[in-house]
Amino acid sequence: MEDFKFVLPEGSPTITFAFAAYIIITLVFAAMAHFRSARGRFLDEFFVAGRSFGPWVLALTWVATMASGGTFVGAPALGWQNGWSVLLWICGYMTITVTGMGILGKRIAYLGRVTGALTMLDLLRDRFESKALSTVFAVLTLFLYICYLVAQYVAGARVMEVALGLPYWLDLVILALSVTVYTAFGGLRAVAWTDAFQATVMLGGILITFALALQYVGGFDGLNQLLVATAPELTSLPGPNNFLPLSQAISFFLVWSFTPLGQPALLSRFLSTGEPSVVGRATFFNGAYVLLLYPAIMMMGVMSRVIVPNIAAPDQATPATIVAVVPAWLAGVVLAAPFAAVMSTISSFLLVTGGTIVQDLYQRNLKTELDDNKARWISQGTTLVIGIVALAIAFRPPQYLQYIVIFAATGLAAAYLAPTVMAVFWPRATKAGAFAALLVGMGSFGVQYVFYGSRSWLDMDPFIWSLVLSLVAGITVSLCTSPSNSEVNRVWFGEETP
Amino acid sequence: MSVQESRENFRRSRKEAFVALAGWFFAFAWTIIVSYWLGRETPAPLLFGVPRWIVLGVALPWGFSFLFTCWYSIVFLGERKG
Repeated sequence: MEDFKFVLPEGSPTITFAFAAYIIITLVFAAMAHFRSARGRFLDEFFVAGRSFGPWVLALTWVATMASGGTFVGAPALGWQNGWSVLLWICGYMTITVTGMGILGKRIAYLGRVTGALTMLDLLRDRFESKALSTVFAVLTLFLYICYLVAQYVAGARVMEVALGLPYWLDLVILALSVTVYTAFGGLRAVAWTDAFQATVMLGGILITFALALQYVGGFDGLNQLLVATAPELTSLPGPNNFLPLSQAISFFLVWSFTPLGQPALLSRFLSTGEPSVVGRATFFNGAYVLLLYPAIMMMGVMSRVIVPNIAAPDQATPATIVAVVPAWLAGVVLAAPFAAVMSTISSFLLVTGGTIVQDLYQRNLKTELDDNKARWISQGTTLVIGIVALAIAFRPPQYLQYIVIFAATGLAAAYLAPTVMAVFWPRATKAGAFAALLVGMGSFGVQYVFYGSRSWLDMDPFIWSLVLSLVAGITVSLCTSPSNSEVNRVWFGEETP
Repeated sequence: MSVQESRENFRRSRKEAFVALAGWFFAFAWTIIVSYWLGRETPAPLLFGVPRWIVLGVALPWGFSFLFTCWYSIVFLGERKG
């Protein structure tokens, strides 16, 4: 294999055309959703799309929200660095559909329909009858998700900068304006319809690159002969520089399997279907999508090691491989895949952040009811303001941003998961118990993260110990306090009122 | 919505969650044990052109996990309305 010199065809007409076409199609989907959503009650339409989603849209919006810019850039970079061991690193995803959708999905869809909840914090507030609990969660979600939004803006603008050759500030403005406007005016329906399109682009882009890369290296035989000849440790465990010892393999399997259950942006999707049986069919579509997407991404990363061995930084593995193996006329379409992942994540997080302010902080704490016009004005205005705030920060992102993003990805799940599971599956759970689970989950995660980084006791991710401690605290405090209101337990669990 | 319907939904959801966890645990145990049992030899022996531990420790359980997902979503969840 000859040495590859990493030079992207910056600003080439085909790439510019493909990106422009991609953004225009995305906006067309958003406009169609906007006109469709104008028929229903505004807040129901904006946050849960009238609970009208079918299995395809639910499955695709779920997976598109889950996949971020890091999935297409950071994960293949790990494959370039560490070889085949990266497949064991990612393979908690083999069960992500069943754990993510099977455990909580149908239950949340049902409870959303019977309680009328528009956000996940609505559900927790109703279950534990506590504005304070949902306010603490709301503030936490708001802060961490805005940081996450900034990181996604930066990632998306970097992809555009490399692909289109435009200045960083202009890429940021184009990205932020397009996503913020369609999210603000189309609400969840626009977010989900564009997610479905973006998920298709992602899968298509990765499968094309994977097939061409495999042909380029001479099939799996050719790939492994080259790996064994140059760096045999790339074919075995734990990978180079002890990348994935047994403890870390266990740790990542647990982290990838269970963190989606603690992400409000993912859980709130289940509120968008009024028929719990839809979740069953969505689970099938989602499982098929994950099976096709994630192994292909990781193997593309492994192949990039022999296709582009001399890149300056591992993060260049994806774009460099695309340029090396994909014909120029198709490269723009394929490069749109990581961009699509960034856009879908931004729109989903933007909507959850907007919902947190409008529904969880404003309407529930300050006002009792909003008429449709006022709700529209406040929801759209809030979404636009959050988009602009994140854009302003992204012009000069703080140096510690990446640390906050990692904290947001697993730290929020550590705080959120135990109270959510207790709320929907345990009638004996109490408000005090939920508070204890939240505080212990978040507090213990913060302490571990500060003192041990991403490898805590027994070399495990801090999320795992925080989840255990959070559950223990929640159960113990619940058992020591008075049971919940019997009317709540009647609606949620069907307990007979004495 | 009746009390009876709420109770049924709660019980079914709890059962569905336990089955999902059982499937997860099986995949978890298989993947970790087989991968670490077979994967430490350098260079890795190949099977179908791919490191043997990848075929038996990652690809095979992933395939079974997908079959489990099909059964879980179509048969197990599909026959339940609530």
